[in-house]
Amino acid sequence: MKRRWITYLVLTLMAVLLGYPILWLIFSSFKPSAEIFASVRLLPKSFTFSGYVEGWRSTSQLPFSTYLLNSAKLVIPTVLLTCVSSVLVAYGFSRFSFPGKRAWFLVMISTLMLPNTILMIPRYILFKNLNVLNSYVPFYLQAAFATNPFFSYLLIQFFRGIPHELDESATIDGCGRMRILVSIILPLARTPIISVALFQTMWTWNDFFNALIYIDTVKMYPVSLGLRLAIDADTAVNWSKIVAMTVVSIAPLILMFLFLQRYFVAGIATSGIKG
Amino acid sequence: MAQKHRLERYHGYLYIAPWLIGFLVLTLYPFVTSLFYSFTKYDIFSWEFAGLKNYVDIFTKDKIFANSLRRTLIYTVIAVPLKLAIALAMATLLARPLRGIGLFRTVYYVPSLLGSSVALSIIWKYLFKSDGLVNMLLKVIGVTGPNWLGDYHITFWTMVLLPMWQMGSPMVIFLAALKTVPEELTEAASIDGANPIQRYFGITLPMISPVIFFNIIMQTIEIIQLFTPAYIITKGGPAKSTYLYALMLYDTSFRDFKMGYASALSWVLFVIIIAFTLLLFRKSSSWVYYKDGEGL
Amino acid sequence: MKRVLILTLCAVMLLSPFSFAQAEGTVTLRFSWWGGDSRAEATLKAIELYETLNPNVKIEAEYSAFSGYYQKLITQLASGNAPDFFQVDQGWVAELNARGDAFADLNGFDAIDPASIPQTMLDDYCIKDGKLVVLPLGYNGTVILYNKTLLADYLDADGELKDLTWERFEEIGADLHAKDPEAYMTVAVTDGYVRYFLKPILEQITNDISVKDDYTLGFTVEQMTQAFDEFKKVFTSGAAQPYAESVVYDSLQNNALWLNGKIGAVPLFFSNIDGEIANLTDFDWGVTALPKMEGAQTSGQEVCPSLMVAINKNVSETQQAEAAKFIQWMLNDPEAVKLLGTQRGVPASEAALATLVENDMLSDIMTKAIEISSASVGFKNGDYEMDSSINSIFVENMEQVIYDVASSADAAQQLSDALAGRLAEMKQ
Repeated sequence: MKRRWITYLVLTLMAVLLGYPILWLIFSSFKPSAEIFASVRLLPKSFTFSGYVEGWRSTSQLPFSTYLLNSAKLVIPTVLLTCVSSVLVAYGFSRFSFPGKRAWFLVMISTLMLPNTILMIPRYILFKNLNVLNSYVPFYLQAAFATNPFFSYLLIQFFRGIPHELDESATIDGCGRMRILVSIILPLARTPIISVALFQTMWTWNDFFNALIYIDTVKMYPVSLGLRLAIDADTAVNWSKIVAMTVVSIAPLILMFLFLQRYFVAGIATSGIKG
Repeated sequence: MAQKHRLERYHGYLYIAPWLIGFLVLTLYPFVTSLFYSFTKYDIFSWEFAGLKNYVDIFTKDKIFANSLRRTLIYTVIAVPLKLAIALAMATLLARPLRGIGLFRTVYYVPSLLGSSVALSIIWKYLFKSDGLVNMLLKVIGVTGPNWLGDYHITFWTMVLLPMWQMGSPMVIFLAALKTVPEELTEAASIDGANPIQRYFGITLPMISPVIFFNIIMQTIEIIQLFTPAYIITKGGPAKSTYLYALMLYDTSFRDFKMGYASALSWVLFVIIIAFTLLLFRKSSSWVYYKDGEGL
Repeated sequence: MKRVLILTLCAVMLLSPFSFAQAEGTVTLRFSWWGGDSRAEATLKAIELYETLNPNVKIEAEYSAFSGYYQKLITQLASGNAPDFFQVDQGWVAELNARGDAFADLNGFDAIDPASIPQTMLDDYCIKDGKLVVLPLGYNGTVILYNKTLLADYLDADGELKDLTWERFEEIGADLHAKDPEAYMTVAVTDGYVRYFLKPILEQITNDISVKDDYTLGFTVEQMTQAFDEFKKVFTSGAAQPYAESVVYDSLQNNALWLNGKIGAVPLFFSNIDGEIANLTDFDWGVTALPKMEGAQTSGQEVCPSLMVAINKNVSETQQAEAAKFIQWMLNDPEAVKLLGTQRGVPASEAALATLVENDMLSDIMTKAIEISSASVGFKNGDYEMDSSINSIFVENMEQVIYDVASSADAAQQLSDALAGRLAEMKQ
């Protein structure tokens, strides 16, 4: 009983430490621009919703909802394709032995190690030749072909923890390799796969540079670009609007996490894995 | 029958095909061109062959390179272990099925959801400017705080705190891993008389060692190439104190138009990261336990 | 099997015809610029009006924030996917012209008549290698904006602050800060200290620009040392907010002291005046010229085109010709001018400026600032002075002086060496 009390104390302390700045950000979205920077107070002197009202109206004929909707169109297929491709690749690397496996694995990891700055122009030219610029297709293609090995490698590590005996007994029962993946591996790897979906959602949603480079038409801008339209070096910036729309743009992510976090409870649903 | 068996050996390729095709079609070309350009003088619009000149210049003439590399390596060596230690500690706390734990998990994760948006810069400055929140709190307990983002001796260390605040991704991965540790094992050890700390270090950590290893590798690769936080919050300053490698690369290519030189800088970094990674892989066999008994 | 399928798919995409079908006679133009909300709103209205007047033209607006714009433009130019016409910054023109070969010669279009733009501006900024490569959408100049309420004790009989010297500027600053420890005479952002303090001081000493168009330096190490010494006094006198405190702010709008009316005077481009004081209505504001050194022949003030527009030379002639028509319309047509206001600075075209004055669209303080700016004697910006790699060398060494990492003499030597090195690279 006493130990639980201490746990809660530590949890609360950490929550304040990590969460206070975010709380400040949320309250700041109800402040006028000048107050955000001029005072250290948490609560606004008086609540104003103008940041939300003006921010939602956004610029020029396009309400902020356009950008949210675009982000959804960009993110959902990207995430689904990432899950499918990285599961297949991870299964290949973790459950098969084939000539060249070790070498290909190292090649895969090493593709993360060259800075993006230098790859951007050749990649842009490549997508131009594929005639898919100014669309979300570059994102879909990269997801479908598991270009980011982070996800495949993550799943490899988890798949390898699932005992081979389960596959073997299924093989004896006459299951094909695909069947084993779907009916044995996938249910046991639900949590890591959810992690993959979570990360890809978050990263694609927040991705500024790739969106900037690949998408030209403002009507197709995702949230990350729409958010920055209000910022300009030449004119006075309406920060209250930016903070308000930042809150709006991360709200779906927070809700998603709140919903998904229950899959990360320890000690439940592990009964299937008996080593 | 023998024919089928030979084909069977290549069955795995069918599954890794998405990545393999993506590699050949989408990744290989940018890699090869950048390697090629690293031997040229290339200003984005035209190029001429330069032999090894870029590489020679990097190691003999470039003072900025040495400074940036040193700072980046120090940053990586300090930030990665700290970030992972905090992520693992938080995940361990959050793995318990307590009432209201979901809310805590969410609060711990939200800083990471901000990614590198402009809001990050607003928050960081609110906390760390000389009359910001942190120094106000310090004043309450009678301490005069330093100028966290303006004193060029200190800014670097203030920026080291950032990955620790945004440690959500490795934390979630640890959470997912802790879930796979069968309770029967820890219970059995408990019956054998192991105390909680012994159980944690003796059973739980070895069980999730592949995932710890994954996080070490991925965070090293990520932080050594860290770009946006420095770009957004400090612009590499003051007095170049947070001029990390990726920022230098960006300036070299898109500000100075020295794309050939930047390519060479990138390949130098590539070799450094590879060396780091291979070292980690080599060391890993002594502490990472895979259930399937294979290496790597 | 799957691999074959996907490869075929890729091949099909590669070979698929490049352009898409278009309605007969309709021209679609892509126009890119950077800028905030209000600029986008005004420009889109102008585009809409133009499309109604010219039903055969459709203009795709591609606007974004400044951050990342140049990088994207370069990527697009390098891969032949740049918009038909685009906004460029003055500091990019020489480099893009030399390397990118991206600009069409605007003299080659019947539609474009640059007569309404002052010839000196065209000569100084728009004509490169005999070609008219860009047109200015607006121009801008540096002035000092000051808070009459805060500086009440220091104003002259007319209630103004005129003919400032650096000495006087620092004197006021020291006194102001002594009376009110929270208040400072001035502040700028990092680049601002180079542009509004260090370079004007240097120009006033040398009576020349810092980096000349023939890739040589306009100053000696001794002169630069003197400039650094003078520049440092802005801080040591207590006139400027300590650099280590202000360095975290990207703009005045983030600086609590500015927002609370605790800063006496800031140098800035006059088109920003209205925006910077929009929320500071409790105070009275005035404008004046930059401080001068004793006996200086030049003001060190900039008067230059702020934003420029160029036509992409690598698109079809029809596209280019239609883009030219639109640009000319945007520059001079009274209706367009009224919609665009001062969103891209004060119109460079005399006709456009007249329209704004007629329609009472300039604030009094802005009008005054334009007068001060026109009356000043200064130099044009050099072709390479505003290049961001050159600028970053200035910033780096200026910070060394401010933080006392290097002495003025050492920093001046390092600065000259680094500039010479970079200029040699650029010259090739």
